[in-house]
Amino acid sequence: MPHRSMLARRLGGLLACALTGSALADCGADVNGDGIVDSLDLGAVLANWGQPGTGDIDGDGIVGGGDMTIVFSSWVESCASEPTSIRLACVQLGQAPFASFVRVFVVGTPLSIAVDPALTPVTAGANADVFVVAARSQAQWGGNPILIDARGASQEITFAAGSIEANRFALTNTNGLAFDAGLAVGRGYDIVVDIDRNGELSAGDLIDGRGDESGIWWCRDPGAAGPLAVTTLSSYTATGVTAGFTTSRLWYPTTIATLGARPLVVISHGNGHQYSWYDYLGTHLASWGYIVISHQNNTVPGIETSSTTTLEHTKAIIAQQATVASGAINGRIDAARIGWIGHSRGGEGVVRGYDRIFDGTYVPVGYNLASVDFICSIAPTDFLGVSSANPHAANYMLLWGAADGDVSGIPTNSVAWSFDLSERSTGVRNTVYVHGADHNDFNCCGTNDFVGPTGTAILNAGAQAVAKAFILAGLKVHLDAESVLEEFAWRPSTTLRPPVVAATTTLVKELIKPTSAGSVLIDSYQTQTATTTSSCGGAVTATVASISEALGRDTDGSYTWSTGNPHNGSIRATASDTQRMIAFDWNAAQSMEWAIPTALQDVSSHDFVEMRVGQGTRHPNTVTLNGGASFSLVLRDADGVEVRVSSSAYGDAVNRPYQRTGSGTGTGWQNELRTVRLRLRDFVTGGTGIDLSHLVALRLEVGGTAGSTTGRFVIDDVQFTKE
Amino acid sequence: MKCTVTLVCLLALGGNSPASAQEQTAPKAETTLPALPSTPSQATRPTVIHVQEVTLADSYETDFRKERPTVSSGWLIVLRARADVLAPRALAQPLLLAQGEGWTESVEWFNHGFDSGLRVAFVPRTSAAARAKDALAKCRIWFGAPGLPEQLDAQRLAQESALADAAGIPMQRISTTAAALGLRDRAALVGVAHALVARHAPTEAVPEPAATGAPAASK
Repeated sequence: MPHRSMLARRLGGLLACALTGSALADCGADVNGDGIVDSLDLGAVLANWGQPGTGDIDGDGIVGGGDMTIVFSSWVESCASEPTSIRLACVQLGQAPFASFVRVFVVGTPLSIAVDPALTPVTAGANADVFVVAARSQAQWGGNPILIDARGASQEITFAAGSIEANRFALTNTNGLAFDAGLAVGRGYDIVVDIDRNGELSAGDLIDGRGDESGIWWCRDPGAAGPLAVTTLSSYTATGVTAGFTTSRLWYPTTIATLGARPLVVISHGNGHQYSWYDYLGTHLASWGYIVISHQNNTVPGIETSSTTTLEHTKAIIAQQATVASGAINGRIDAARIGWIGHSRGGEGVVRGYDRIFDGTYVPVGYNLASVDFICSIAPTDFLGVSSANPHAANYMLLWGAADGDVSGIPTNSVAWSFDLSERSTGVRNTVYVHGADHNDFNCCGTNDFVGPTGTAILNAGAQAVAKAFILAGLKVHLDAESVLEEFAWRPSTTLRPPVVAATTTLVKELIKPTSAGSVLIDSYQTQTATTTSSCGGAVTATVASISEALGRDTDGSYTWSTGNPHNGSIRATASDTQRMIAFDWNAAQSMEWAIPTALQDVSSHDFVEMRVGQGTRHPNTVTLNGGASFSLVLRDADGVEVRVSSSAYGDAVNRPYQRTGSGTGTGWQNELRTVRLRLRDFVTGGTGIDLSHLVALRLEVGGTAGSTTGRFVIDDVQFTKE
Repeated sequence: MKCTVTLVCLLALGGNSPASAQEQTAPKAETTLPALPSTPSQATRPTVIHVQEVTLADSYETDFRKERPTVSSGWLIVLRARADVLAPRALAQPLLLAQGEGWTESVEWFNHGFDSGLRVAFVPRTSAAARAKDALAKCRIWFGAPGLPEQLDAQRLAQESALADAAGIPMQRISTTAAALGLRDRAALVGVAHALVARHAPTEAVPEPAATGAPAASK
């Protein structure tokens, strides 16, 4: 496929500045028929210059100056016969790209739209009306184009000359948007910019949400109580369960009889804990429509026995639903939608339970492997290792406190390495690492095991707020198909935070999707283990220092920095695991660049470029930096066009490791990886002209003007992903 | 000789704590997790304050050994020990072991005993030597190195025995009550053990489930 010419792109950039909104469109100039006259059409004209055929707009038999004149005179005018579907809803940013296009907004937080004049045909000085409309499907829009603003009235805006920065508009009166969504956390709305101001969705208008997915998701606080009253059965006796561990507690929506079948959530406590210590979670989840049990768990012998009680209790409540709670939940358990939540040894136990079903060593009755759609481990142990504590392709969530004094993450004991379990997952996995939370903050009554800097403890209330919000979001994504809530798993807290979680609480989040979700993997470090070659086979060139590609494993049993232990602070892989990653440091403007092989260069249908990034704990550069770290990502296309976006634009740096001491000298606990996702759309903002269908390189830049002047990074899973 | 005694009689033995079954809801801030002591050691040896021989009509396989040997008799015991060795932990805790002439057993336990200092446990008699009439005439009960009981195999038992010898854990005579308590099965054993927990370590007692299965509370 031929590339657009460099000339066309450069001319396009100049014309975009000079001619925006200055003339009426001649839609014959829309040579490629994409609805807009732009550099693509100019490129088509130039590519066929002096020849008949494509680009002969004026019909004189040859492509020439007359055709180019028509293109110029119609520059960036819309020729659409349909409304233009684009992302409008955004969070405003303080620097380029100036707008972060997202879908989830929590009620009470700012909701804005942004229009990029370089990409969208709008006329400076022209007025338009913005409508926030109750979400309609594509078919519904086809049948009913009438615009009705859910806020009570539409909002007039005036487009400005210049860039996207000047064309951001805070939507007003959003407190009028209804958020009652039944059992869903959020409610969908579509956003329309009514360009011709005719009160209908019509040709030339802009719409965010014309498809079956809504433009935005207007959410309640997932950490706040849900809409339903809850009934609690303080205890019941499960049958067919290991003697001594037959007691369980049940929570369910009081109006369960009106709800139809609902997913089942099973809570498995940890060693020395009790089934009665999770009222906060059982009540919360039931208020959002789940049937929840918390059972006695046989944790003292170990993980195998713990998994047995989880398996047995899951079977028992399904089998006994006709009699438990006097039959109130009879027929209401959807055994095809089950979530398992385990804490501590119970957190490993639920993974072991899944592994046993996967391996065929346990045959469930009343449910099956596919039923268990969501597993959440809270501060799990890792006694059993990769062969037996493996979540395989389950949707897996890990929640862990950085101040845990029990499952502490100490490098001398891999049983205390919770991240091992999430690293083994081959399904959709996300982690939430919570600064200031200890092991027993996630239940009501365990011993105080807090280990961390004075003044950083978030206590039970803080940790449980996080647990309620993020576990609910995970359940809604995986058991109730409210997939948009996945944004909670990766967006920085600066742009999306459950209000119940304190703004001062540091959350370090990862979201990793398997390549089966359509990802284009550039480097996972699992294959092509030389530092000069990426997993996808492309060349890797770097000027950063001290590069080490190896198991994500601290090998010397201490968090004291040592050059002989380049993955100091990484506790992601036991000796039997295979999770590899890369580490490097810098003290100047330096970079690492991944060449993208030809077969992978078209990412135009992808949404993000992303990677997991963390600071190397206790490294001298990290100590010197003593704060959040930033970097830039640069994309380069086949024509040499480069576009740079800074990670700091989104307001949330790669955080400094939790400042915990112990395990040798120095300050800082384990390496904390977080997913940094930059939307590919942001690289196009301003009419950069970069061709996302022909990307030849991805470069990470640090130091200088690109990011922090010094530091050490650990990186994994460099890839292009879909939303 | 086997005989049956009432639960009331059994509960009258071995302690002065008031019987009370209630859920633990004490604020955690009042207790902190102590550091794990080194085990085995003389300093962490428990004191046996009560022993009751038990026989079971129906045997079971113990979860406290990797080989899962069959159990049809044993000794129900109450131990007093230091809080730091009893404290429940997610990571490995000290194994609880018993040994006599020609036998070594992994001791099952029913509560941790962190709050009370008292742990209710059961020494299974899985070997012929342990089933000998005078098996407790010369024996020791101690906390071994940290581990998971379900991973404890014969080789590890031998290692723990050697560690106990090195730590100077002595053998001694342990006296039992006169008559064995005959129980139907493990469920019955657990029931008796839980009653002992309720008496000696009430904060760890498990409440009896509601008989009717009716909801007990609502928001």
